[in-house]
Amino acid sequence: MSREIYLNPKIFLDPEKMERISAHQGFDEGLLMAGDNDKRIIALCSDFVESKKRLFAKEYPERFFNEDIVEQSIFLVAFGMATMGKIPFVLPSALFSSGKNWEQIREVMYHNNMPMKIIGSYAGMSRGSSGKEALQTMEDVALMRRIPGVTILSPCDAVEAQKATIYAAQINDPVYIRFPQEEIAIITTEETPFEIGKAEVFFRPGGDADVGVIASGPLVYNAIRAAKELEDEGIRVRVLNLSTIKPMDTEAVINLAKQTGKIVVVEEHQVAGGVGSAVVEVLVETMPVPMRFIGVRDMFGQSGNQEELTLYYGMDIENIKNVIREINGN
Amino acid sequence: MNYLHSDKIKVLENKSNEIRKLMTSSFFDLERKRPVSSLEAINIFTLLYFHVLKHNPKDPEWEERDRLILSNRHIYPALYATMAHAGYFSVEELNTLHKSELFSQGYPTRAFLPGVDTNFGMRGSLSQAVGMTLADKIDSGRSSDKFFYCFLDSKELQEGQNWEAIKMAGKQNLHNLITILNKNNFEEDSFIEDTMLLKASVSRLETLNWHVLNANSNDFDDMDDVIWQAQAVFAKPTIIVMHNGG
Repeated sequence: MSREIYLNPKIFLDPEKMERISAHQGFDEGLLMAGDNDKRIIALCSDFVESKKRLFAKEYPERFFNEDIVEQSIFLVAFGMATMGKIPFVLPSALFSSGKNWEQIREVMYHNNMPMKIIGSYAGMSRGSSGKEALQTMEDVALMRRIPGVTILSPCDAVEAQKATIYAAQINDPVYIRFPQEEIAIITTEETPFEIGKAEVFFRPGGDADVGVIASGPLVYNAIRAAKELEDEGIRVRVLNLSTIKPMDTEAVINLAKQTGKIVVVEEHQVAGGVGSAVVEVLVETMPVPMRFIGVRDMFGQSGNQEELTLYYGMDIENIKNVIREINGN
Repeated sequence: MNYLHSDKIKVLENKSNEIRKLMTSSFFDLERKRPVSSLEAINIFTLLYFHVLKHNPKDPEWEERDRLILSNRHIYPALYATMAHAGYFSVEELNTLHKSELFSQGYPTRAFLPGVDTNFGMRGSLSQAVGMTLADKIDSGRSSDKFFYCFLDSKELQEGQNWEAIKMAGKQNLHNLITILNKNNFEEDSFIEDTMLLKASVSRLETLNWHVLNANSNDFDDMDDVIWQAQAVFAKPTIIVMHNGG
């Protein structure tokens, strides 16, 4: 099935040695390409690290604003720009985007459908080894989901982050894009389909399926590897890449539940209020099936490198396999 | 900028009296609002809508219009009454206020009311005004002939977010941003001793590259003169402290 969605074949042949790039870089390239196509695009940030290294900033300094610390004001500044016909991208970290500015974002979205693009960089467990653990953000999806009309994207790698940025620039709605700082294996290619509001099955063993996995963001890689390894044990797992968290592709989610009868959700976020909760809200009314959740359970982040933290919070390949085996009754 | 003849001043005074009458007589449940601030704002709104603003009530989305942004949202009764007189909608339509989704849900919102440029849902709209002026600067540079008028209440100077916006506007030399500060001596439930705060704020504004002017809201000639001065300021945003007498 990897052929139809044109995944990077290395994920099945040599998954340990895949090229790893930060989704940040994909976003950076995407913003430049979007900016080339549309002169209305503006980028704003508030005392952002290495802002001058942003490709967009180098190419279009007159449309790039790195202000002092104006983290609350910046969303309303962006909104003001949008009312004048601009398409502003606001680039603070996920914690500021969703937390410190929640009221500002909610107020400007109130009965407005402005094309504001909000970037939640350093989302998830990022920064665990940078001494900035307190900025790890595993609550942003829960917070942004509450605001009516906001589209939420969670690209699974740098290539998808680039596409998400370009597509986000083209729709007339507010969009929140979350991605981590860490380098992620490149699992998709230019040819892999991407559409806002559409979820794609990234892994589908032949025949019927036993368990459906819904994954979002950088953990799609672990989910695919877990599914691939379980294939050898005779457990057939389908993996759905939920790159758009909201509006959710309910048809794809319901179909997966129908086909498999068992759902495991994998996300780098609090279980409460995140992707798992969003999936439950859909399935409990339409196609209730047994479910398991892999994510952070009512805890804050902490220091550690990505590998250590992934292991600690049970988001590693082995634990995903264990959870799948358990729900499958193995 | 048109010179304000004494005849025109009489016209404006009559107009503001009519607007005041409309606002107090019919549609607003003023007891639940803060009528004093609204009443105080009527003269400046009258001057703007009937003499200063570049605008067209028949074409409220006209690209080249000046923009008016209300941060002190509680004075919206004065804005609605003025806009009705200016021809944005009929006086009768005001009766549908608070009732119809299409027209308004109380506080002015962009989505429901043509001619309203931004969401007056929250305090801190100065930041929005800064963004609008900045967008205009990107497009027109110094050659812009638009002005952006933002209404602010003096007690909003207690809020941190506004100082973020003030800092940014000063740094970006937003010469066509004119903020009108209503000097308000009332808190929700008490008087505020805001003399010290206002003094400190004014000196801080000057430090942050703002031009500070004072005007008397009971004197059309004075207000017009001060707005003219504000429009002529080079490379700095302006704040006009509006004194309401008494």
